[in-house]
Amino acid sequence: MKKNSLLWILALIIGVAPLFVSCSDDDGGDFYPTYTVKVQLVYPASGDIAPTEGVAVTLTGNGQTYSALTDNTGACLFIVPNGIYEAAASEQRAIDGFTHLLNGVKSGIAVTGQWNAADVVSIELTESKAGQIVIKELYNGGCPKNDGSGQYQYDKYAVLYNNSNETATLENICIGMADPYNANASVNNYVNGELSYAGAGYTPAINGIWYTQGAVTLAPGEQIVVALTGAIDHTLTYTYSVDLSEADYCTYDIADYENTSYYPTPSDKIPVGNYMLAYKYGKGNAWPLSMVSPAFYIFTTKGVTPEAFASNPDYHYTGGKEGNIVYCCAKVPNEWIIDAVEVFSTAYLDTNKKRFTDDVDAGSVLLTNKLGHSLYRNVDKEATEALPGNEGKLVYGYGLGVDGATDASGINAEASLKNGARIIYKDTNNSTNDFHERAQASLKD
Amino acid sequence: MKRIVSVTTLLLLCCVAAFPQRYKIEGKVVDAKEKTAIAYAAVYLPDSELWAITDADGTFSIEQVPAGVATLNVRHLGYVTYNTELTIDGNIGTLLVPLQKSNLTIDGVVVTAQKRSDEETTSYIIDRTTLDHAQVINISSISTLLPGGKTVGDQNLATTDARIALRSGSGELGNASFGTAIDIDGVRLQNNSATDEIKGADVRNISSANIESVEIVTGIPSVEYGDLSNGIVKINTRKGKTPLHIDVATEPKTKQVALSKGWDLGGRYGTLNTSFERTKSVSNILSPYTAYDRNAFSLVYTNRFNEKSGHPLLLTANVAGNIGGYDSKADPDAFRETYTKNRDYSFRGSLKLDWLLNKSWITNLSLMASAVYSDKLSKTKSNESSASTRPYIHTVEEGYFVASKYDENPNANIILSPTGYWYRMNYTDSKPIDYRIKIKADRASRWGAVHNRVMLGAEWTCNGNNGRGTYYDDMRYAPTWREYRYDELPFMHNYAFYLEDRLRFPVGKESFMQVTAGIRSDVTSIGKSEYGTAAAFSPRMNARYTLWENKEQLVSTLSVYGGVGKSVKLPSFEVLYPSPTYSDKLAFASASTDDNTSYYAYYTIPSKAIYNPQLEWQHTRQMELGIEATVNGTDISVSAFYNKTMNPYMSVYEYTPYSYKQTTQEHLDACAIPAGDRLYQIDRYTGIVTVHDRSNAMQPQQLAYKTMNTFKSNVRYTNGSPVRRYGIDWVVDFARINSLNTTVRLDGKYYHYKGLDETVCASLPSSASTMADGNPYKYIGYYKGTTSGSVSVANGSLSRQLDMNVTITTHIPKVRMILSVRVEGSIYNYKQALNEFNDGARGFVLEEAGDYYGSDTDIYNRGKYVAVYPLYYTTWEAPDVKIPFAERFLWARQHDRALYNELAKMVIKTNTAYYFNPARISSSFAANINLTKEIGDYATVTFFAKNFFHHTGKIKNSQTGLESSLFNSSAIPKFYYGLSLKLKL
Repeated sequence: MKKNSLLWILALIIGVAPLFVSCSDDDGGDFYPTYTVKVQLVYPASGDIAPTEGVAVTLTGNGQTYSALTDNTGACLFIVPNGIYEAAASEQRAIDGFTHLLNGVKSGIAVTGQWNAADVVSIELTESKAGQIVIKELYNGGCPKNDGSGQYQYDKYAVLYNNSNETATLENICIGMADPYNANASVNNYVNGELSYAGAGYTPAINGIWYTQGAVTLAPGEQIVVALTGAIDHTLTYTYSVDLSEADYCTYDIADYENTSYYPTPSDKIPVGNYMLAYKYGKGNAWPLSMVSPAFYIFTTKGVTPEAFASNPDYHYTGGKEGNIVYCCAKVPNEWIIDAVEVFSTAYLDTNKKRFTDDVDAGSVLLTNKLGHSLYRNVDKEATEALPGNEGKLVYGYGLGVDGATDASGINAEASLKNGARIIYKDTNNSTNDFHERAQASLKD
Repeated sequence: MKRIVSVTTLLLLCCVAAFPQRYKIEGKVVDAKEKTAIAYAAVYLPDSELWAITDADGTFSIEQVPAGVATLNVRHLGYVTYNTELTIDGNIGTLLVPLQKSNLTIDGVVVTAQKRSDEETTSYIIDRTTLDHAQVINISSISTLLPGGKTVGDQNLATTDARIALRSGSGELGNASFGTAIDIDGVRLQNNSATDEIKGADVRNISSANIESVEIVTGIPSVEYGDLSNGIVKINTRKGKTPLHIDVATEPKTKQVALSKGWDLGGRYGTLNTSFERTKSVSNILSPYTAYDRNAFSLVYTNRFNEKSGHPLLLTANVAGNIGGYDSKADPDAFRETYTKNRDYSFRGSLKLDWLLNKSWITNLSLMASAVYSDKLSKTKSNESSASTRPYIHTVEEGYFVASKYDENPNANIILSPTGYWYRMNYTDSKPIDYRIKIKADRASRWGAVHNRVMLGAEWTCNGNNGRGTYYDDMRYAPTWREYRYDELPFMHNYAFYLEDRLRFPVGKESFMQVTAGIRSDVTSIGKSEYGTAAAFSPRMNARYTLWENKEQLVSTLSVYGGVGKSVKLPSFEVLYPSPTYSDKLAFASASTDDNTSYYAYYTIPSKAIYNPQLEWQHTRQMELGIEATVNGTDISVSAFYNKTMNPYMSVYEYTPYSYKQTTQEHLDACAIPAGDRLYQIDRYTGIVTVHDRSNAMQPQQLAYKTMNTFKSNVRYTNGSPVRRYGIDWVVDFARINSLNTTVRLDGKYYHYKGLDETVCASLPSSASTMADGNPYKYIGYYKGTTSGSVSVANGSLSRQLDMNVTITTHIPKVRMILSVRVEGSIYNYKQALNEFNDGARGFVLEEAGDYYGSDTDIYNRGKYVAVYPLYYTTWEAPDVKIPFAERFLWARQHDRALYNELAKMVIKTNTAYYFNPARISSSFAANINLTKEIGDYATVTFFAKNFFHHTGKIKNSQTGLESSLFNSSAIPKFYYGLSLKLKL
């Protein structure tokens, strides 16, 4: 009996002893060693984005994901056991109408017994931009007249939409179109198979630009309808056309463009402060947006007013035909461009040529004009369905695509918007993926 | 004493010689085959200007014919003209003149334009056989039968409105078609009353089936013809007794049916010749609805009186016209109920009296009165629609006016258009009217072998237009337009007097010389016009020296001829009364209401055409030299000409500064009155907008404005710089190869044109654009050298052409057939746009297309962009201060960038780098085939095919380096064919 109790005491001592040994690093009686890992986010050197607090950083390893928020220096602390970890950080910042997407990943962080608490893990963040405001719809093709005598094209409009999750505030929104007016024009800017401005960082704006008189603020999911020609109710005479008398903005400036067919006096429902003004450096009494295949884009000026920018002859040049002021263009820096859409015509499939460089719009959308069709943006199915408020409000079964082109998501965006849903549209800076030809303008829905 | 006797004898002998014995010639004209008498044949002695018309039994008598050798010429429609030489040394009592019927059984039928070798200038005659063989439907294609001419494939009346322009090319300065005169049976076709063009007369409404012959004078015409600068085309229609002609012609796009017959009314009642032709041309075979119709008719009455007394009087009364025009109404492809109809009615009446007085102081007296009335009403019905009320401006006074609805004020200056859909009827009513009275007397005399003829004449012409101008039937739908009535313009009167002497005398044994010298004075008077009365003299002289004729040696005939002359071309209405223009600027616009009604106020400034006291009449100085020879049976004729057209009519712009007030949305924003209560009012004279409160709660407010300083353009007609043309025409008719019954003809022309303009004219370069500060462009550039009145990089052009045609004609009298193959070649075709002054350079080469400066002035054939500076410029504030451009531009480049950018807009550049490369077009050829076959005595069938190879070769243009196919190109005639059947019963 004396031998058994001695063994029991020895086992107890052996069993309890490790407990006292393994918790040597910790307070509170923990027996696993943990280490403090400091993660520092490194923001891109070029760019004005400063570190901010509250950015979520994740540390994944050992089958566990730890997350922490940064402080105002962009650093955060993790306390993790040893193992191999991967740190990732993602942030969205809304600055001047652009959503700056910052992403960074660092993998292979080895937290071992030799880990020094003073070691800092740096995550380099790379930046990409997505405009907060997108061109949701462009209607420029015109519609048939009631009596079949031809087509009517003085009813052009565009819809601009806040596609992001933050409120967008822009000092001004400007509208321009790239040269040549039509994609199939034989006189274009191609030199040796490449656009003459391909690496130069600018896009031409031909004839003139329109600009808002003041700042524009759009809440997430809010849109503005901009009447590009007559801001009146066209349906009184042309039933296949649209009613633009209640548009939010209209382009009307008789000092530069006084053609009364293109620009009858706008409806009195549009406040005068919402008239977009023009600066013309080309020729003509109307801003000639093509009804066949325009290269339409919106931009915002930085550090200079739109008037000062457009009137500065250092930015002017004559594209296509040298010396002919009819083709006078301004150079719009690509950093200012918020969104663009390149339209090609189905009548000139062989000769359409791109006018936007790939960083502005890498693709194109086809339009058959004179039939009342418009160009409408595709819905981003995953992002829209992921939004919490959209349950049960999304309407599926979209059938308004034309000629085989349709919205791959199958979501009927306008019907869903009327249902109270919030739509996130696809924006990959590529009109081939982002747009489709719609059988009728959305204002007629 | 002896001396006195010998002098007296000499004088007496001279008198005897000078006043030769006079005899009587009597004779009878019969048909050579059937021996029947031919009545109403014209018997003519050109040396003494005596004539007679045969009576019912074919007899004629001419009295007081001077003794000596004289040519006798007998003519009747349908017969070959009979020429013979008579030796008159006593009364001739029984001269028998057999006339041969003109058909393909006789030798010597020609189917090309024949050079007239009895004239002292270059003149061609085209007879009926040639017109039939070439199947001429549109008279404008007659000039293609001249040496070196290029045929037109489809002489479609619906699609071409070509005018005849002799000795010139297309796209040239100097108004060549306007200077080519067209005369039909002595009645001149004018286009002076046209207010919208400076071109020659439209000849589409002239019947082609009723023409007997056409004479084309490309050289220096007699002073009897005035108001021309490039030659005259004289058309003679059928007169007298003719058999019944039925013509049917068919081509892919044109069909023609014509009927004509001339009756001898018997006894003393003269002859009546009537004809009717219907031609219809469609523009598109697939849709044969848009067509041009020609329904031309003519009635000619001739009679002679008093022939037994030896002083015959010939009366010709002519009424001709056309009812037809262009009509697209039936076209089912046009939108419902829309169409265009252009009437082309034309009525010509003339009365001519020729009296052979045959006195010692006067031989012939001729009097002619004519009137031409045309109705060129054009109607267009179009369909319109609008979603908003648009302003239609009809203001003719200066000031600010507000648009109002038609129902509220039908006579408002500016009317708001309706909204919705409607039809609009637009009329353009032009009724040109011309009157003319001509009187002419001549006296032929003879001293031995010397013949002299003096001609004295006077002419009064009156041109006007009785049309209403452009108007609309319903002012509710009339677009922006102002009335300009043509019938309120005064008539233009021209009085002309001319004197001409033609002397013919022998030189040595076998040569003789013929000299014609004349002078014409044109006095033009336009009532109520600042141009008042102007006079111009046109002296002309021609001479022909025939070295020998019909000698039995290698060179059997040789003669040379030459001439110098001046022809004055009167201006047209477009030059004398250019229509007033109006400039409308939008001064204020305000919001649309629920039914899309807008408030618009416009500022209008009218301008009158500027009177140019230094305007001179356009005239051409012509010089000509020719040689004709017959070598071993081959006829060769070469003629060279040099024409310089001085003071061609040209329009330029002049700019007057003015300012107006513009009130924009920014100014309206400052108004405190709520939008729904606003009533707008604009002051007519000051342009200030006042806003009234409808509810009277607030006081009326005046709005601020912006003063816009801009320019109004006015048209001023002026004279351009001289235009030079020279060339050589040649015709070689080889001797007939009898074994093959074939003749070969080689004809061609070399033509050189240079037009260079050095007129200083103003131009507002950026009329629709603003300067960098947002104000309208405020500089006017003055450039030396224009292109038809507007500034461009080129101020003229040079062109050289060498065309040659080979015509192989096979005429087989036994088979009564004539076949001709014509190969037309365009051997050398060179055009060069010019940019230079006679004494220096005008433009310079740019190294880079975007440059504005260069010093290299060698601009031709370098393949580089070229730029032109203005001479000087003026500003809006100081329109009289001329600032030299080049120095200021260079200074501004270093010191005032803003001014540099604005001045840069005045530099004119070429659009392409190849603009000043010479355009040499490689040679091309085309072949035509024509066949005429007579079937018995009564029917003739003609077939033609133009460009029958229809080849698709390529020609290269050295300017652009491009090659283009000849298929459907304008370098060769379009492939075309046609068939016609003529019956003569």
